[in-house]
Amino acid sequence: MIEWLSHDFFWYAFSGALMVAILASVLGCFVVWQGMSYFGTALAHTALLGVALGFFFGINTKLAVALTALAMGLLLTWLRSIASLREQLHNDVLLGFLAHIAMALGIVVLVGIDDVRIDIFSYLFGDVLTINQEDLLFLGATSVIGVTIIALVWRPLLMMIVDEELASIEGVNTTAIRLVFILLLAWVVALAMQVVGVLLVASFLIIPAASARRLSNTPLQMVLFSVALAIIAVFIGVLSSFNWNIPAGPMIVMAMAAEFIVIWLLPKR
Amino acid sequence: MSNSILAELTNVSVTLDGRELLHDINFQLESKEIVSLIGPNGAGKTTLLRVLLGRQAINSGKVSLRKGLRVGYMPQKLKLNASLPVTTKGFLKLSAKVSDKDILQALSWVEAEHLIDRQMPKLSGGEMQKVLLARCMLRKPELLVLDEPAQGVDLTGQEELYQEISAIRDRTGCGVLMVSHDLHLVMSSTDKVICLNRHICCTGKPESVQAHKEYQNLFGDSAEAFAIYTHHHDHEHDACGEVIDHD
Repeated sequence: MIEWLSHDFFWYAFSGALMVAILASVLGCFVVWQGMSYFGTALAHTALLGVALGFFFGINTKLAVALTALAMGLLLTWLRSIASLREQLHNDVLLGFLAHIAMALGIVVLVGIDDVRIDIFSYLFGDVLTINQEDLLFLGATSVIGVTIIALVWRPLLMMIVDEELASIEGVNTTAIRLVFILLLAWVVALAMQVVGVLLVASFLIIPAASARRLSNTPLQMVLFSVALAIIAVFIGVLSSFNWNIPAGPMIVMAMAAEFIVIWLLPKR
Repeated sequence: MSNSILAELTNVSVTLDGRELLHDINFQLESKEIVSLIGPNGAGKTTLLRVLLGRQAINSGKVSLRKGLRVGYMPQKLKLNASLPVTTKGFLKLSAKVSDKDILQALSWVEAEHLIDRQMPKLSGGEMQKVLLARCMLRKPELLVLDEPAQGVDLTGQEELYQEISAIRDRTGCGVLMVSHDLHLVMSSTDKVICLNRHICCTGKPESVQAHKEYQNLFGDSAEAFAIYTHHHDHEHDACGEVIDHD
């Protein structure tokens, strides 16, 4: 049953998923604190367009996806700043339709490039088996960089989350901090696509954080619990995926969901 | 500028989207002085604070702050997301590098030591405002700017909060500028009142402002009189607060 434990591709898949899940579960706490879960989803929905543009311009797929997601993040932030739009449309309307426009455009462009045969399914739901040694090094390095950046902007980022205007009055460059955060979010979308796929990226961000909330009294505790729960979910998800030959991304998400249910069913402390 | 003057606004006007929000505002803030800014909704009180804090560009006039002035700002309300787990102590440590001892002292000034380990999102309106005030004090401000500090606080809590603000002034000698809706409550603890309705209608000590015809017309004694008001001097206001000159 466990002969695949001796295969390299299992360990690449497992470690790759782990790296992505760690970075996503850290960032996810900030997403949850800011009520930005649909913002994350909207960024993820641009990933197919990113893949298409990557092929079209012949650049690295991850880079293209990250840039497209970043462009979406900046577009949404800019649209939020337009007073007349803000006054007449709730944020979720903009997020909702832009996410799907990006998705539709992505599919149209992907299918339109007919000299490339692309397995759309693997982009939609991820494929951990495609993770090779080079990918793994890259995932590891960028996850470490991502977590380090979060640690560096920890205090100003939290101040901004508590009250943006107050933070800005007290000298936090909220524009720069927000930009850094959107950049990281776009980056995590690009990384997570290979593991969990476009449609499920947001669950990597939100579910571990949402579970961790129940267990935490401080922001740091919540981040640590979130990471721990993500690691456990990757463990269960990847093992069961190899065991039953089911895609790993959805299995990890199921494991995260199970954690959420168990934690919120725990008796009140 | 003399040394006791913390901030000075000279002939400040602000126009936004063709609407004049503030017209020819002149005043000075001094240390050890509590100034209350009162006026009806839409009178430009918050805009004026934003001008002072450098958050709102002005179209004409001049804003001068004393060099290196430390300003403590207390927002009207903190919209804390309940998904953020943070204790009062953790929250107070976010804004400045402070010791637990400093935190306890600041909380004791507003009689809120017992809140130190409580979860911020679960605090009541009054408790939250106390913590915000304590937070201001941790920054050791020379000028304290408060935007409706007593909003969402029950009546006894409001009185307590205003007493604590004047106690803080007595203790630290800082200047205070606060926006308030309710002059009855701030009367006892304020040195100067500025009555604002896009321009400064009248200003002075609370007793003299209370006796002032414009103040009486602006505030009257009922909620209705609060919304509908006229001036008996050289101009009137229409429903939008625009100034109508007498012919």
